[in-house]
Amino acid sequence: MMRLNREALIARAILREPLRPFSRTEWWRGCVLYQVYIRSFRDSNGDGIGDIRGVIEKLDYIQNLNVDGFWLSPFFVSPQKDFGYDIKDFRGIDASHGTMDDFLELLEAAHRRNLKVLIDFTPAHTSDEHPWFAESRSSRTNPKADWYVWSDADADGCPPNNWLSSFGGSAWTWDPRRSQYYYHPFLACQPALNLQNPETLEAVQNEMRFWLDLGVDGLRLDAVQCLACDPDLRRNPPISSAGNGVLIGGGPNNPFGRQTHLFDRDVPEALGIVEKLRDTVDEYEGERILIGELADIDSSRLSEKYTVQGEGFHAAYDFDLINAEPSAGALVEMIDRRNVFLRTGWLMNVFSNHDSTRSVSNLTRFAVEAGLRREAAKLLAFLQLTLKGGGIIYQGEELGLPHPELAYEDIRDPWGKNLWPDFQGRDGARTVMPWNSDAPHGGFTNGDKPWIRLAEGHDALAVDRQEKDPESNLNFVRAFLRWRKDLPILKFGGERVRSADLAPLIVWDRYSDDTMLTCIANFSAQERLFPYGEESWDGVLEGPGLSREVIEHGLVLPALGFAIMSRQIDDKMRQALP
Amino acid sequence: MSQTKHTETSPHSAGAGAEAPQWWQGAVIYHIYPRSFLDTSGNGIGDLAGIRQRLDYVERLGVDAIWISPFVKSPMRDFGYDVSDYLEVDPLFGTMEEFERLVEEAHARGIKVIMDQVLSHTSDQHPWFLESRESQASPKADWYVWADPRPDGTPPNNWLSVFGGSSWQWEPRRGQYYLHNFLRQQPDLNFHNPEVQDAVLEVCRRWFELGVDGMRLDVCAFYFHDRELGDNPVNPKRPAGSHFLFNPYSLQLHVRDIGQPENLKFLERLRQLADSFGDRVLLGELHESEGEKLHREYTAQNRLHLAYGYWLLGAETIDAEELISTATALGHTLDDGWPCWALDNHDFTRSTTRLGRNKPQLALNAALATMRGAMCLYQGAELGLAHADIPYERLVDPYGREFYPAYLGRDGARTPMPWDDAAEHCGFSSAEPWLPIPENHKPLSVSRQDVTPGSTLNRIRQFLDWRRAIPPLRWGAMSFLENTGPILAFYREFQGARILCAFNLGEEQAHLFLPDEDLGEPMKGHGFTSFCSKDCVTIEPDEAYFGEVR
Repeated sequence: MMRLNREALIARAILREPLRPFSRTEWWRGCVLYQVYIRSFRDSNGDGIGDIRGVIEKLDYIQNLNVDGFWLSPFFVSPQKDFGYDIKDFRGIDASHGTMDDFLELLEAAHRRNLKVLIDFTPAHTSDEHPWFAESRSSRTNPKADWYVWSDADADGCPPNNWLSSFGGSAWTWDPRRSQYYYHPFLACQPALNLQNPETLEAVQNEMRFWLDLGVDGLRLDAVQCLACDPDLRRNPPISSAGNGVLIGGGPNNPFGRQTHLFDRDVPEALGIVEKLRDTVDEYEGERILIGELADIDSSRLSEKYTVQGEGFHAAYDFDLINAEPSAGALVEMIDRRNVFLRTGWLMNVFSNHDSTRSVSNLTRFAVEAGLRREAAKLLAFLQLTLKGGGIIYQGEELGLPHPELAYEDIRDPWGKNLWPDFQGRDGARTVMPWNSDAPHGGFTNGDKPWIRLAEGHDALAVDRQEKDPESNLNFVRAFLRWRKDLPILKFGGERVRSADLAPLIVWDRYSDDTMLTCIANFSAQERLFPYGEESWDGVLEGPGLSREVIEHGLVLPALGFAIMSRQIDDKMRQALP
Repeated sequence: MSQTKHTETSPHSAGAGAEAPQWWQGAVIYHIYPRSFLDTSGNGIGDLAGIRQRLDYVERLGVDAIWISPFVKSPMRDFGYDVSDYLEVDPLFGTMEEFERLVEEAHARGIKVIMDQVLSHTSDQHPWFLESRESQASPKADWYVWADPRPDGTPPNNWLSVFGGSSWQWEPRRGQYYLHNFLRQQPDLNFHNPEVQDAVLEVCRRWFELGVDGMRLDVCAFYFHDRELGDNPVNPKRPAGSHFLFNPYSLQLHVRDIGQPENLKFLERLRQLADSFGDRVLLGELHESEGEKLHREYTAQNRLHLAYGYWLLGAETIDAEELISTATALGHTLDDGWPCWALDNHDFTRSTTRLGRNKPQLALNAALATMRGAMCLYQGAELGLAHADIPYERLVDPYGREFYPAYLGRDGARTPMPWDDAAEHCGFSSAEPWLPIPENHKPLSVSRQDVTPGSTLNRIRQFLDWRRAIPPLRWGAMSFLENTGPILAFYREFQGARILCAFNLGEEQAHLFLPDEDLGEPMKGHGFTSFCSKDCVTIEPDEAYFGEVR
């Protein structure tokens, strides 16, 4: 078969007949999941590290958010060099997080409440302490010699090419046992699996089947931009003077950002692997799903390739919103771009996660600085829950937690340590969940040493306080999600974004065959008018947090306000829709 | 057996021209690794007070000086070879007062004190580096070796770290890479900057003022780098010796990153400083490639007094031929160019194990003590200790952890001294030592060997004592006999006195055939045995003969 290059693959994907609104209505489209970063969620045994029993303890809380389910960050046996994303045994539970019995109890309890359970899974690398790697590195001839990506040194002893780790330094580490380099796109203790070896891929599929057999509803696959790398190990070119247009982590000066990642990220060889992974979940009843995390790349453009209807992942875990430039214009452009490219595929809207800056501080810093943190957090939740796609709410996001400032002494994240102070790492999003404003450590632990401290100011935003406050972020998210359940257009409808000229308003339409909802978000700290112009609406929707102040020529939106207007669609309008 | 041909060499002047011999010429230097010598504070780590307590022991060895591995302030990422303050004693080892007492008491016994100076790099915690990395505009911005990335973000060239990986580390504060020839926590000072030279010379001056008699200069060929940052060329042939093969470092010829010509001028400045204090000594450590050439350049007049390379430290076999060719290459016929022979140190597999016989190399040690040059005797070598097997869980050397299991690092040579096998932790410490003491070191403890006639310790004491009293063996010119098979044989000649020294370094009995008048009168008191017959001396393996020739 001809080897298609990456551009051809995008072209092939977007030539597909686009998905019509409401033509597919599986549970996961438009679902809203809650991301539990176990380590920082709730510590039930006082050792300072969150655990599975802590999640069981808080299942009521998760259920009361009115989400459809949750996704658990990694809990597998791990040396914890990258806090669980360095897996030593895919089938075991790390002792710091609990036992297999705990997990089974959680799964059953969640299912009893009709909550879906997704787990995190790293298909493309393991810990360097995984027995597979121990065997692979032991010689050049062992049965697993080709399970990881190995290469001889260049003649001068240097690594075979210029690939860099996004966490800093070369992506190649010398192993004296084989006298060869191995490839690691992240930390040196996270060697990349060679999934182009069918035997390795089959082994990884079997690890997935282990969890699917236990009954998990899906897997969020970590870092799928790295499922494969160029078999010829070609060098990446430097970025052009215009930059490569892709937002990557690690701070503004991360050397990783100086390359165009043609050969180490999102390579054509990955798509065959994606199909195999999809086949694995399709072996199971009940529409188990795969959500693929696409980072380091232009994910709003490339998601289509990875989520082609029926062949790829069910949805992409999109990093573009997280990395977006915080302006209405830039957000409009991005939403537009995804609508152009995402024809048959799907994505999950994510504004915050355990790797990012918390969204309220990242995307709406201007509002936080203007004392409008709470309003900004509601606006972002509105965007997340009304844009096309599913949504994943990161723990604490429902509380509108701001991103804390951390001192170097507080940093636990190896990435942050590598690139400090240019990049502060991911710990700001990983401080412990504030449950109880008066309890030590916010009620995260009954012990005296949480692995990372409660962020300053987060105690005042603790769950117990917000529960009592009708205007709180928490109560807004609960109410909005409850309200959203009765609006299938938001889950399955089409989407069209209006012109960036309306900035700082972001305006987009969600539609079915007969109804259109026009969503308006005021991405500014000043009151704004949305002028009706030539258009006419049937009404302004009433719902949690929605603005409804109509004057003669339009709709008034307070600072960071948002609203939805509705109308019936006539034939003329229908023809104008994409 | 071979018929010996005695090549007559003309006598050479001894030592530095017509001047009187210097103390360091022919000195035996006892190398103390303070972490592992004696712990008096009960923290499992040896200290300066421990050295002072054992000065009796050192004195009885019959050595001329001690060289103490680094004891100044350090985060200990490389166990003291990463200095964060050159002028403070690390609290682990004691105080400045304790050091001064040590020097005083050593001097009272006639023992010179040589300290380690790690000038090529500092710790990344050194205030100089903290300032330098802060911005490209800081006053010390140019004190370390900084470079922009290549357009693709990668390091500026192909230089590799001795301890693995690129020798360039990204520093986000400056948005530049810095050079480190060893750990990334050991940034290289930029010796092209005169301010840096002045600063390290000032450090040396302060220690000379405190009374140290000399400095062992850690990796002194690494001070300068090529300012143009050119790539190192590919090494056309991999070096021999299994201990280098695990490391891609050996695939390059290190002609750009180290061994730069500017270094010679700096060494001359350092020598001038030392000479301004009188009879102080500079002992340089050379790296493995081009060691002989460097040795000649570095120990030429007005540069270093002494230098040692890895010729014997890395060797897995050492025979007579090897010693002769090494000494010849180093230029034993020159006035300057004094080598410092070393069979063991804190960086290499102990010779007892490395040379494959797993028994102490008494004749070889005696040979090195009598060849022209100084000699380093590394702590534990006088006990004939084998290299220790340390399980991976207890390895602490970052070099070893990086290249495990192809290379186990240096911990096996750094285990604590077994003073008294009847005491807890062999009398080294009241606490669990920082490295385990291997079982097989216990029967070789000082307390046992002390009372055992003929023990390795007593043999070495006896030999060094005997040697001290014989001026030709310290200062004499040296001429080798050729074609002597497994026997290493040479004359040392000084002020009319001439001594024949012969050592059987082989595995079997061997004979040295020489006319009786060239064999001389057999000397006694050195502890070795041999059998003389007409025009022949017969030497068993690991034995030696010394004859006084008129």
